[in-house]
Amino acid sequence: MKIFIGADHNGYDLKATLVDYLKRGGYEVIDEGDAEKHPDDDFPQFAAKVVQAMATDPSSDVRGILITGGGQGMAMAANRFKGIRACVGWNQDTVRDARNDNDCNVLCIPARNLDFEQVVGILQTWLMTPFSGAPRYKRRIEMLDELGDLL
Amino acid sequence: MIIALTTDHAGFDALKELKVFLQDLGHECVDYGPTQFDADDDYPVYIFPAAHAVAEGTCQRAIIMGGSGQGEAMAANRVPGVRAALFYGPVTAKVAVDAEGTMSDDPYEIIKLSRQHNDANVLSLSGRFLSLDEMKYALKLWLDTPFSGAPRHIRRIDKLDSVSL
Repeated sequence: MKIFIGADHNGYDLKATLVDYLKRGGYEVIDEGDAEKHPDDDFPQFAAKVVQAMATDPSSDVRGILITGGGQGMAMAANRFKGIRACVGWNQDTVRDARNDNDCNVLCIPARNLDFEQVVGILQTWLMTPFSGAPRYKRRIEMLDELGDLL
Repeated sequence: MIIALTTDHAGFDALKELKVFLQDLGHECVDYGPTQFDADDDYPVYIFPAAHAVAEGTCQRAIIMGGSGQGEAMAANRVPGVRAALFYGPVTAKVAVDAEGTMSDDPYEIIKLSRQHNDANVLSLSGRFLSLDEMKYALKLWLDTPFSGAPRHIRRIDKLDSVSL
């Protein structure tokens, strides 16, 4: 698994910690910025950078992690793009559902609402939970990218 | 307000109750289905038309629901102009909630922030993780909270639909 990670100013510190944590866990992690903490940076640009890196990477299992204060804006930004299924990772139950049901490939972490222990629990659940592959879930995932154009 | 409502099977019963609740508050509800319970229905079929109604201005807001609400928010956020926030339970922020350093112990702060910071126009509710009382409280708060209009938030919202690959 290859992981692209990005964050705005509210997620900058946690991003640095998670890059370390994931690398120590043996994951290939690519930091898409911001490279320095800019209090006035705008989250959509980091969502776009991570999504672009994911879209152009030839690896078979590519994931993205996006961090802001609340995680909501990042999920809005990332989900604009086809092929991206970004969840807001508030707790382990919901990211388990997002992986099992939605084959979620981008985890948006609300840094403001979680302590590090909670972040690790959510992250591990998201990394370790496989997509169920159930036909009804596959059908809905295909609709996400196809149906939007038809309506 | 004119509010689009829709769900998949997981929110079928709860959404009917929320419709009455919203109408009692004086809102006009436009029902985007489903009209009958079908345990095998597919949320994108219902979510996309409601999301487009918001993007095109036919409805000012949409309330959407599913089991976790995640897939529904993914679908809605595919549509430019839509800003769908997700809610699946009260949570308290551990650090300041804005650039001014404001602290909050309000477990519904994320509902307010989705309006103040993101000008969210769609709210995706988790049918499995929320009680009806939590949904109603969150809904009213979300509808009553205005967008801050702060230049930095306007700039980021603009970038949601202008940053491309």
